Amino acid sequence: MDSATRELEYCTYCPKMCRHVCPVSNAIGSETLIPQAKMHLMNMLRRNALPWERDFVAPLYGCTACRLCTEVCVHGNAPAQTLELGRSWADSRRLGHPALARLPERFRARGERLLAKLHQEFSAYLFAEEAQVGYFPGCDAIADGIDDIRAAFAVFDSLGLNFVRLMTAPHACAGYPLWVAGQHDAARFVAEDMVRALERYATVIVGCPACTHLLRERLPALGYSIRAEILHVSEFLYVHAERLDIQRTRPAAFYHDPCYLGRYLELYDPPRRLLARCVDSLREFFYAREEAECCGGGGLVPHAFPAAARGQADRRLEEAELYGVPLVVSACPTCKRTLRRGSRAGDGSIEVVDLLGLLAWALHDPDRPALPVHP
Amino acid sequence: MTESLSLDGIAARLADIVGASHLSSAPADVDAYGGLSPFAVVWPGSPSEVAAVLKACTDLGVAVGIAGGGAGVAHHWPLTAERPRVVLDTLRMSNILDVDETSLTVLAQTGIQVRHLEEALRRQGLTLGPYPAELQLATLGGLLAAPPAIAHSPQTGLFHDGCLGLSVAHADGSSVQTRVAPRRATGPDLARVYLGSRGGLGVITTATMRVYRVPELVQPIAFAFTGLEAAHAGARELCASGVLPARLRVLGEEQALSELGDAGAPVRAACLAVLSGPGALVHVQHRLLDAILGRAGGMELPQPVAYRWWERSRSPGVQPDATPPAGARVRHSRLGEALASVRELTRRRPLNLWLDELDLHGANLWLGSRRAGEGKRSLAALLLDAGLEPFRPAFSPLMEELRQKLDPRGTLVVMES
Amino acid sequence: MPQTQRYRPSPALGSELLAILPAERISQGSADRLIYSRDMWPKTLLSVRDNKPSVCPPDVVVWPESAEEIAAIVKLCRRDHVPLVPWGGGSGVCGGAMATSGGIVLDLKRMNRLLLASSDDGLATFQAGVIGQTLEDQLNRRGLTLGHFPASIYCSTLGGWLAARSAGQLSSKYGKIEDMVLALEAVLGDGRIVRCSSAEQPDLVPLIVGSEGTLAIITEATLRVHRLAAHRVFRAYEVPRVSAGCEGFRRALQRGLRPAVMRLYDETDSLLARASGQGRAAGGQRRLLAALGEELEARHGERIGDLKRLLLGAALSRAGMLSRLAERMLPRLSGGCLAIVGFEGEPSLCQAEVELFHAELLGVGARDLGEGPGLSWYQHRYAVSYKQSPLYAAGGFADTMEVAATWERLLPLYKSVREAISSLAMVLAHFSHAYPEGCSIYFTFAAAAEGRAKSDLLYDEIWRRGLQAVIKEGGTISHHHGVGASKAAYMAEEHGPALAVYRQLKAVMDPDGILNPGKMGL
Repeated sequence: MDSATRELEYCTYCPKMCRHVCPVSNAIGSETLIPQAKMHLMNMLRRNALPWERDFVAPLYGCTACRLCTEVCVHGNAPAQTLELGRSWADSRRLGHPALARLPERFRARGERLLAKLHQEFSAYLFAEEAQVGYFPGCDAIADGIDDIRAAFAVFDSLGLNFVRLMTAPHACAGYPLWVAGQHDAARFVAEDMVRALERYATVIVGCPACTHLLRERLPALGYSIRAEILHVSEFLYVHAERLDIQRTRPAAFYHDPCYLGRYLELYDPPRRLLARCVDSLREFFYAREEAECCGGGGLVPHAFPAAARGQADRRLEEAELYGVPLVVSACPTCKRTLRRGSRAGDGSIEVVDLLGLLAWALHDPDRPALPVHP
Repeated sequence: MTESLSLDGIAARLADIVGASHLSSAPADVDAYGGLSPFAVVWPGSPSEVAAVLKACTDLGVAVGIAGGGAGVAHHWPLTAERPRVVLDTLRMSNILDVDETSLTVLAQTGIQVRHLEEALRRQGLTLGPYPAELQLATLGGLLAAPPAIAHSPQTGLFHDGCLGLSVAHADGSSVQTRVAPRRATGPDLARVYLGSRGGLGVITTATMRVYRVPELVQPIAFAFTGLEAAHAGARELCASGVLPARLRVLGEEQALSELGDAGAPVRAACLAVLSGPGALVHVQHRLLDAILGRAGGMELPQPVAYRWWERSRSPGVQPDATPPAGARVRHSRLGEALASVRELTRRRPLNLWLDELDLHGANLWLGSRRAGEGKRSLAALLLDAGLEPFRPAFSPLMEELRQKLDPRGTLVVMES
Repeated sequence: MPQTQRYRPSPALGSELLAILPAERISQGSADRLIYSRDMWPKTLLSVRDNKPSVCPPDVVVWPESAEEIAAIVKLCRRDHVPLVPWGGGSGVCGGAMATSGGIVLDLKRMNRLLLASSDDGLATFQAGVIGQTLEDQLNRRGLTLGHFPASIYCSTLGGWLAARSAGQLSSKYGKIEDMVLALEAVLGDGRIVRCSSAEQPDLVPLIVGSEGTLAIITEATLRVHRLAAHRVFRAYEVPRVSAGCEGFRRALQRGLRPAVMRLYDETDSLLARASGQGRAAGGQRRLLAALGEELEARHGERIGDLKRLLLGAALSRAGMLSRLAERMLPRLSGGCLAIVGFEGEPSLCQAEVELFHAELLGVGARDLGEGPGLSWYQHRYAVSYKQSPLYAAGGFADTMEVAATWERLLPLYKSVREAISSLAMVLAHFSHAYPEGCSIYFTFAAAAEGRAKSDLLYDEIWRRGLQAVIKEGGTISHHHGVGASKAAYMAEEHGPALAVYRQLKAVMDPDGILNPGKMGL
């Protein structure tokens, strides 16, 4: 019995002992989207106890890959990984989720558009060919957080780390969405490009936690040879935290752990140490660190189950509102984007910012006008 | 089909069931039931006789009010029902059927007076629990059918919550018995249909009650406070701490004067507690209580004061209030506010004020008066004016619908409390 | 599976629901209908094993967000006599949430809010669809606890707890859920929304609680909450026999001690606990599966799965024989029974209670095992292993039977049930919810048969013999799992003529019989 089959069989007979942590099902109350039900459906499809039909396959796409269920499973079952396999089975039967139709083409087109935008926004010197340390911001940062990329360089500069240059990459994204969508052929194609591009670098600093995990852990585990050191930007910066010439700009902020930075890479403290430099009070969510709830942005859930993704963002922001702290900081462009879709962010009652943006804002600048006071 | 019979005919039919000596239409007997003005009273001797009486009354179109041992219970006769009335008095149904000393339960007929049941249990080292002495004259059936607000102890909860099973006779003569289990998950707790039903859904004929071993040590404690609010804060903290006294009472100034007149110096407010249980546990609880009430600003009164209070409160009838007190349930968080409004309204009247039946959530706030002429209604009105809801034994509308199913002819009359 | 006459959905049902709920909160999709077609009744796992995962599919699943929406749905269902099955976590083990007549499943999990929490007044109000652990977490962050810790806390909801009279692991101190609920909001089968509490008499709360959705749909509950315990102490003992353990528990409770945890494992359960070396974690089912499944898995490895299944099947089909053998060998093998006790609360009170309890247990011949086994139990109390697949693949099944009786009847009941089913199944038991007047017994059994028909027959026969023994000995057929579909046939014997009163309540509260039909023997 391979490990996926064993997991499917265990989950099938389990009385749902991880369902309470699943952010997707919690957001919309669906029994069909709890990890056990998704695994059960996949197992029944595997056993041919159910016909391969779109309706039975669709729930396999309702997973943000947050790994909370794995944290609480006595057997360490990993539905995030197994369901991804299920999606690849579905894709090979042309039963992929309709919201993800033609994903490889869309991925490529979006990537080209974002790369062009990046080149347009940043002067050519940032892409210096001879740089040994590259910065790979990730697609969502280019799409929605250009200022956070600028902020990253402002922080590098302030620390004298001006040897960092934007990485010359063939793609705006290392291919995470293709992997989670089960589009493994297209994902491998992107991976090979990325591996080649990484060869020139000693170190690559990555802005996106999912791509950090992909390049640092997943691709090597699949046999890709990556010699460059892969670091998340918070990991790269936190050793310099005490050197930052910074002033505390805000009284308090909640820190939201990105799933890939936290449960996947176990980087809980570096972003906190940085954040602690620019706020008076670093507040922790009730569910934090290993137990942190997902913002809803992973696993392409915002495409396949947009209401669930929004619901997760709402749940996260509600707590900040409950404690009257109008600022939530994350260290992931995707988390920032997803949380900003939550209604508390939409109506302006909670501000969601990237750690890099907040750091840059806090850099000591004698000419800067008085700090804005949040309402 | 209702038969039509003369009153004598009805009496004869009922006498056939209970025996002629257990039915009376004599004014001396009938008048004992005051406002009920029945034409006859029957004293059935067993649950099956109760069922047969009810069936006969339903068949004959006779309304039945339930009484226990002639206790003065007011009844609410339906205004439209111009029909003969009898009182079914459970006086003779006073047998103790079983005492299970292993499980600590007693099965008794419900006409038994609480004091008699308690005396019998005490002979076996058992007790019904640390309930106020005022309940001693009530019947077991009365306490279950119309639970009074005072039937409570912080340690053992509400008296009627100790009812593990009962048997009931319905107006149509059918009987049901709920089976006894410590807890169950097999549907609604059917005994609870009848608890608090004030005779309107059926006549509770036997009940299985939880009993307790007579405590190894009983320790009354009295604390003086400078104000009622502080005494309440201490008592509330006690309830939240896990120290569960058998009795707990908080007295305002007038009431402290009345209950602790022998304390020496006048007491502005007091908190009275009775701890009971194994000695080792009571000692630890006592230390905790001292610390909690001390933190709340209390000063312990000499032990003899507490013991004398405890002795007095155990014999019913020694504190005759001129009028029965009126009370309202108040949550802890609202109690300060409630006390302020009551005080505002009673500034010129020396009314007695105390808290009892305290638990994790709140307390009953009681108003009493030692002056004659101060009617219970006026006390209740005062509570209403203070924004409090006096106890109103509302009969759940849904239970009224159930009543129409169980007793479509309206034989059984709902008691007013 | 019990299939009552199936409702035929009107084609207009979906569009009529659309007038009440937005489209995304109504589903007639096949995946949803499949997932909502069963709860955790172990018998339904036999269907799953046989690749028939859709057991009793509802016609529609809806996710209301308010009592008013539910009332509107109820009124719609009344008109066409559409069965309505309330659904929480679907974790029940008696088929109580199964749409045995089809109709609409009403998932309450979108109604999961904390509406009020008051530390001063020791109460909190939640909507009924909140998942247990989420509820407890919400209270914990305010320094409070409900004190209700069923093994299903991760997968069950408040509404489900109330509907089936759930019990938690600390029930001796905090009581069962029915002891914790002060007030309810519910929607009746005629569409009325009622709020009930002891302010009215008779109190409707204990009537709706336990009715498993047959009288009303619980939408909101106000619960008694406590401050988080400052201190916790565990002790474990080895007692020579079940009877001695029960005696010790009874004496301690009747002296007024209120341990938070009291667990006594019978000889077989204690033996397996030692043999499996898994510590004294959760209940018997885990042990049984551990002993039977994992043992074989480890011994024969992954590659010879068929042999393993064969062996496991053989072991189980002789379960009765094994059980009898074990019975004979126990006196020689057994190191007695394991008892775990835990106290929580104010430290000096805990200490005093522990000492008194200790004396009671030594008085019945117990040997002190220190705090280790208790701590280990506490750490692993939810760490339930669910490697059930080898058991089912081998043609086996396992289930639990939780019954209760007053102390006087308890041991005869224990013996009768064991005798009644030990020729058919491997059976073990523990005593984990004790009260001054009695205690519950949690039997775990496992057995196997060839093929579905024989499995069903054997499964039903074990239950029949077990529950009849319980009734004969004057116990109750369920302490905290409820009745649902699986024990419905025994309700007449459980309640006798009093069942008629339940039917009358049903006639008042659900006049058209649309609420969870086919359940509870009504």
